[in-house]
Amino acid sequence: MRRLRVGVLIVLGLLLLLVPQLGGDYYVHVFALVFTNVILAASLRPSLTCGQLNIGHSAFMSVGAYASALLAKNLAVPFEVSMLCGALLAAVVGLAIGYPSLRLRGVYFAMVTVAFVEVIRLIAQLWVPLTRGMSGLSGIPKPNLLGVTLATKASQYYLALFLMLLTLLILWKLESSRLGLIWKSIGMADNLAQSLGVNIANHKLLAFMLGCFFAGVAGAFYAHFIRFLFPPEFGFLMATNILVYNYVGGRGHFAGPIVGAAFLSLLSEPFRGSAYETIFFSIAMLLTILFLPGGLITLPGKLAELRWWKSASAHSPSPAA
Amino acid sequence: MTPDLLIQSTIIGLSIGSIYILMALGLTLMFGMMHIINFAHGAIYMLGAFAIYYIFSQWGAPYFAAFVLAMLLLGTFGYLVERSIYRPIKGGIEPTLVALLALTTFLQAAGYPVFGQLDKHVPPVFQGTRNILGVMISVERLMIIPMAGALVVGLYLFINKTKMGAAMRAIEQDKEAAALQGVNVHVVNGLAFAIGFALAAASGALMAPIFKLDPMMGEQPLLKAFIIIILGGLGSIPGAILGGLMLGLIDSIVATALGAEPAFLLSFVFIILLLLFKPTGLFGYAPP
Amino acid sequence: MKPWRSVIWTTLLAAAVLMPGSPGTAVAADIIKFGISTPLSGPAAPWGIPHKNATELIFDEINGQGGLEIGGKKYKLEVVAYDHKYVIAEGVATVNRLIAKDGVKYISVLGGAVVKANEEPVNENGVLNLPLAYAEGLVSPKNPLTFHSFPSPPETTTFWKWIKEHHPQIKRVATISPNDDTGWWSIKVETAFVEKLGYQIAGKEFFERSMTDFNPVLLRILAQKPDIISVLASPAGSVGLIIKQARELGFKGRFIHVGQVDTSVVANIAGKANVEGTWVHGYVQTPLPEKVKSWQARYTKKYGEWNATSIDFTNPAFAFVAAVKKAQSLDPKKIGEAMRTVEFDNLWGKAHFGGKDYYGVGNQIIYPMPFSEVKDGVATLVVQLSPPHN
Repeated sequence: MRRLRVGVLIVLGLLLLLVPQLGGDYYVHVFALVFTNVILAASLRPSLTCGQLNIGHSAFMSVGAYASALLAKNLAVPFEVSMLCGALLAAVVGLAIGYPSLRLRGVYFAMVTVAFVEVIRLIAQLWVPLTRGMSGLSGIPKPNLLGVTLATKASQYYLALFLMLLTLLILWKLESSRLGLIWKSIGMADNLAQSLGVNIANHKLLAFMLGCFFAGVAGAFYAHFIRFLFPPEFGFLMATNILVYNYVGGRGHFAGPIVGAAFLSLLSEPFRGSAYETIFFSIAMLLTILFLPGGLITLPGKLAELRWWKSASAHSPSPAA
Repeated sequence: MTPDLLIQSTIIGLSIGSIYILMALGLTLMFGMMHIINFAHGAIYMLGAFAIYYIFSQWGAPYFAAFVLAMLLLGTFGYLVERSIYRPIKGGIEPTLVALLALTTFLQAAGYPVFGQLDKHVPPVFQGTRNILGVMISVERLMIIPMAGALVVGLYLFINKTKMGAAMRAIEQDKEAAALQGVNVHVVNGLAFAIGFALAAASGALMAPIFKLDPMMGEQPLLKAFIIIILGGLGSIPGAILGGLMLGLIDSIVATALGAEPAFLLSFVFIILLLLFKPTGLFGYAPP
Repeated sequence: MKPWRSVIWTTLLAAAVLMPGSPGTAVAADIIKFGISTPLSGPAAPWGIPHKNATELIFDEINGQGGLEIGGKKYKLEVVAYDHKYVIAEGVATVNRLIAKDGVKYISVLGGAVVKANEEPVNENGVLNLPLAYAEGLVSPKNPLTFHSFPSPPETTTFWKWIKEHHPQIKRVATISPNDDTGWWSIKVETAFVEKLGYQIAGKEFFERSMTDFNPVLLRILAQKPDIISVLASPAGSVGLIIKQARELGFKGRFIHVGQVDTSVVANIAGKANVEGTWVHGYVQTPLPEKVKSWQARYTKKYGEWNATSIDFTNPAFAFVAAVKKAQSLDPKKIGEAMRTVEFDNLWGKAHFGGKDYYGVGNQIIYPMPFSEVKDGVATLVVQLSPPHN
């Protein structure tokens, strides 16, 4: 079983590496954005694990995006530096908003995040000399990584792939470590955790800031890939999408947000540009929530159950007979 | 800003405030009773308005009848949502929020093919304008005040003076104890959803002749309602009233003094500060 | 470790779904694909739908006559249209799909911010773009293959000269526009022009597109006592609400929109009596010149209901066909060269691309633009004017 799993992962990895050759510019674009969504979804997970309902993740993506874009455009800062600066700034902003708000419980915290998304959007809109407001920030240079300008979409694709894998690796390591256990314990029963000596506030803040950092990373990549930033893009809609990726994918496992982001982003693609795109998307969301409350990651389990159930009932006599 | 302008702006602000109060009522109830932020509030508001469009404007029914019918239709829808979405999810707050979000997205997106792409209007029910302290206000906007008032009084009486209302309050305080006392939690939850949806539809229906209709029209009211119940304290009706009036006055006076954009930004900053320093709002109570 | 299986299954499934669609070619057999990225749903749909419909109708008619002849061979024209809902990510994704997947080399995009977001992909891929958009810097030497197919404020503000001549009693102008690039640029151009003509600016306001209660903003504006309010770049629904609420507050002056707006929708929302005397560009209900009447009949026949916005949105299709005929080539660059010198008929008269003195490059469409006044709820043609720069 193990060998099969590893084998499939290798095939998967090869496919992802060969997307530019197999699919051309079109699929490169699609998958680069899927990877961005995966980073966003996975980075939200630590907060959610701690029980913080964060509907403002897109605001931090916005901070990272604008910071990296402006540094690169106006000061010719190379990508590795501008991305880090953008991510750090996002984390700092996260600290500023997180420190006072994390003592708020549940709904109130969610509301602050919603309000915060709007504030960031409005700042980006109104601070015209810096961000060019609603005209949109254009002319963002392509990623200049370690002295090399990634001019082709394919090279930018590999950058996205690399960033995604790196992010997932870091987040996976953290989640499997003692830190991850503490987060889970806070999410499940924070009073109990606190009574055992866990500093809830600091750990929640750490989860939150970590999420903001990686959202900033995603934002920086997005800025240098799409090369046009428009404040309303990072609004409430995107924030709720990121949340939905986590729920539809599954809250119970690390792979949840990955599956959710990949599945939902890819699902829109065949419907891209049709008037029914949003309709199908929302129906898919609803159906998943209703019938797979644990998320898509529970699907194989449920299918297995179904098979077992069918074979089990095949052996027992039918009451109708 | 001249004193004249300030007075006019204040009057307008009170009128806007009464509209906001109306928008916040359904949301207040759902949160107070079930601790659910009804993300579908805006979409139901929109459906209420479109119900009026079809029943009153297209089929020619009298306005009041259309209004009641809209509330009944969407109230029933609310009950069905409780049964088919809220109950199966076993009442988890977060999945319910996400499900309501999905429902909203669906309703708004489906609105375009179903209702058409162009903005619609409903002919005014009340004609004319009145001069109030130097500013002309249309009669239909003035009528919002008694209508919102009637709904508020009705809601208050229901919650505090009826058995069902008492049952809701009991469940809100302690679900298990209430069940032990013989309260059918499922039915009461269903009713709470029904009333919450009906109130959202009512505000949409009342607003229909004043503004225009389009499938996304519920977004703004949803946002305003959120802000109001935060200001006033989630679950508190007096809080919603005060919050609505405050927000209406702020929106009006700041916008007249500084312009629309700064006013918008300021209202959000204000909310964040409020949440950070007095999260229970003006009248709210601490969350469970 | 069951969840890992779903990761695998998801990607394999996605691969199966997506892979079969390999990048296509633009000229398969004898078909020329023309791409359209436009809002087909959402608030901007009243512009997007006639955009797509008008283009398809014109192409249908040409196909019906055998198609477009290039170098002795006949080609059929086909529209590939995607809905971008006025969301930038969708705008970029749809154009990416048109260029990279459908292999389209000629497109028409509607929407200022969307066109700007796609400036680089369009230029890098050498794609011919015939947009319908208000965006500062769109028509410029850095976008050599972008030919703007609709009059924008630098062209349409010439109507103010007519107003000055015929209605000299109007002196103070106030403006209300959406808070985005389209609104800012439009107002920048309009206020500069009217100030030069001697008008006084009695206030400039910008609103969030979602705003429905304009009373506080109108109070602010009306305190400055304007004679006329310009609602340039605002969509029909907002214009309807602005007019309705301004009248409630007691404003008796006129309104003007030298962009383009469907005044029938405005009249419905604001009330017929309230919109009397409103001036608008690009929207005419009566009297319709013969050519336009004929278009109306053909449009209504194909689509079941008439949409006067479609009249001006025929420009991209007419321009494209004329330029391809002149260039006798499928190469976007050659078509672009032809575009700069070709003269063709649109529904209002003779059109060509010019404006080099103003924009630095002759990529703006020039033709006698229609201006109407709303009389008894109906947009009535008042004058056709040519822009100040040729």
